[in-house]
Amino acid sequence: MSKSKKIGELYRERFEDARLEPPKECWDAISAALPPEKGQKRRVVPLWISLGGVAAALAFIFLLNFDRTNSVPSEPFVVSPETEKPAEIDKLQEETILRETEKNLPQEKMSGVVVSEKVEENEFSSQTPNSLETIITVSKLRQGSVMLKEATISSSQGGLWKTFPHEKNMPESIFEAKEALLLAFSEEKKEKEPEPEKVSRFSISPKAGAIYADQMGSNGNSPGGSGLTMTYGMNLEYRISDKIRLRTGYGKLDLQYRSQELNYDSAVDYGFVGRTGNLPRWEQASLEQEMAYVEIPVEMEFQIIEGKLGLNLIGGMSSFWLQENSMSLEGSGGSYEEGKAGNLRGLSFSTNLGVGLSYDLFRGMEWNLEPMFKYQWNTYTHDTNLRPYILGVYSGIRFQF
Amino acid sequence: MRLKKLISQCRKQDREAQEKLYREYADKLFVLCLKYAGNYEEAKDILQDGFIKIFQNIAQFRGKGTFEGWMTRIMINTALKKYQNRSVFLSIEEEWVEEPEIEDDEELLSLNVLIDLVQELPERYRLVFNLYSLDGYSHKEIAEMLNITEGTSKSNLARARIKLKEKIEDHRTKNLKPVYVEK
Repeated sequence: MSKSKKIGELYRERFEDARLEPPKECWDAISAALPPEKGQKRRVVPLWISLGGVAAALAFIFLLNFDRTNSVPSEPFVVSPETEKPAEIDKLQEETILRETEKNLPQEKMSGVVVSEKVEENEFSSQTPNSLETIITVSKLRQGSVMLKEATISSSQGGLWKTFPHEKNMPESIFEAKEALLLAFSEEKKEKEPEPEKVSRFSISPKAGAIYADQMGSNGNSPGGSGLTMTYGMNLEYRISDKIRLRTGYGKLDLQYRSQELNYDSAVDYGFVGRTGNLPRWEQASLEQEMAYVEIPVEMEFQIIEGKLGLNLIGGMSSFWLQENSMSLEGSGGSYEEGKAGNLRGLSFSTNLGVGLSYDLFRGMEWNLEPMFKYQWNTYTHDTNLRPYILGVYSGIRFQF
Repeated sequence: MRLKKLISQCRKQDREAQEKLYREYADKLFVLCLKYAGNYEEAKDILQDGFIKIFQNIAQFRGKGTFEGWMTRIMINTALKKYQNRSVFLSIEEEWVEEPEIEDDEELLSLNVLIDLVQELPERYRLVFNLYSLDGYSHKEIAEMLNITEGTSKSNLARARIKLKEKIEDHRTKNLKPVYVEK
């Protein structure tokens, strides 16, 4: 014996504690989308593959921006009734709506359906900056028939809010017709919804560092280490993904080498050019060499530990542009010679490797400490077994903008 | 106790624990997804997106209320997010219509049939009907969730009930067994 129930009650009863097994692929899809388990080995990506990926990503971003710039519509947004008419409207012309309404409306106004849409935040029309009026006229309605005089659709706080006059007097089919029309317009509305807030990917880092420069290998008269000197500069960084940053910048690097008790023979070519001075042929001298470079690094940061205190692995290369080059020899008796090293290239490079510690100070601002090793190459104009390197500890503040 | 341990393991992204939790609740939550979705495929999407959100945000579950209730809310929000932007809610000043009644025939109106019928409703009706009639939200809450007025919520509920009744009666007419009368 069946019993009479309210619809909501019937549904509640049937759905209470109901269970239906979802298809197996659901869990597979969920599992694939979740982050890897902690402790699971991460693949180490070779540097050259990563750099290639970065280059491709930058090219892609550039192309995307270029395409977007070119595709800004210059014409006001107008929907043509003949070309843009949604399928629902076609349906309206032919079906029940007309029959239902013929008898209810005055003959002289039966010219068609007019729908006006006013959108407060108009992004499309340059002619009407504060309002957009889209008019769709269904012209093929049979003479003497109309079902909607006017419908006004306005947007409010992200929600879609629609009102119709004289709703209560409208027959059911008209109600359905309006729904179809509104659905057609809601598709347009969807396209105009604001994009989610963009997260900034760029940051700058003014930084300074203490460096020690020396070289591996020896040619007998090679100068000693540089001692501690300072460097300073600025980095510009682009966050490619949550884990990877690409960075470049500018750094000023001053190096000073000093060697004591050097056996000097002026007949030997040490690559010492532009000599001035009065050093005798044989002399115990001390050599002082000063060089200044502008360093332009291209490096990538891989985030290893994320959090307030972060750890990054840094790899890349730098180009060094020689700016200053001077040498002086000072003999024991007050004699001297001055000139510059003739065996240094104007442009040299280094391969860089290091780790970066970061600490979040405020939102969009963090402090960095980066011990780095830079192995220099292409430094000298002739073959030598000297392999200069730089050890540096850099520190700075990163500002996201 | 077992659930607490499972949640704790899920917070550590333990995949085995995540799968156990999924197996435990997926069947029930899938029914929820089916009633909010327009079809089976959309229900699958909602279930997947919802569970991903659950696992990503499980650290935020502080034990206030039941865990099942927390998951249900995430799943409903996921469904609403999917349809909210594309649904048009009509504001109609209708006179209050009493909730229609129907004959309950368990054989004819099985769970699957009721799911099919509710899925055939327009999105705006389906969302309001589910939220009000099945998940116990008030019109005030629905208005806030869907960014509509209470009046719109009420009118859409009334129309949803009328439409459902029509669909159920239509289904009954099509599937009634012939009655043989002995002479």
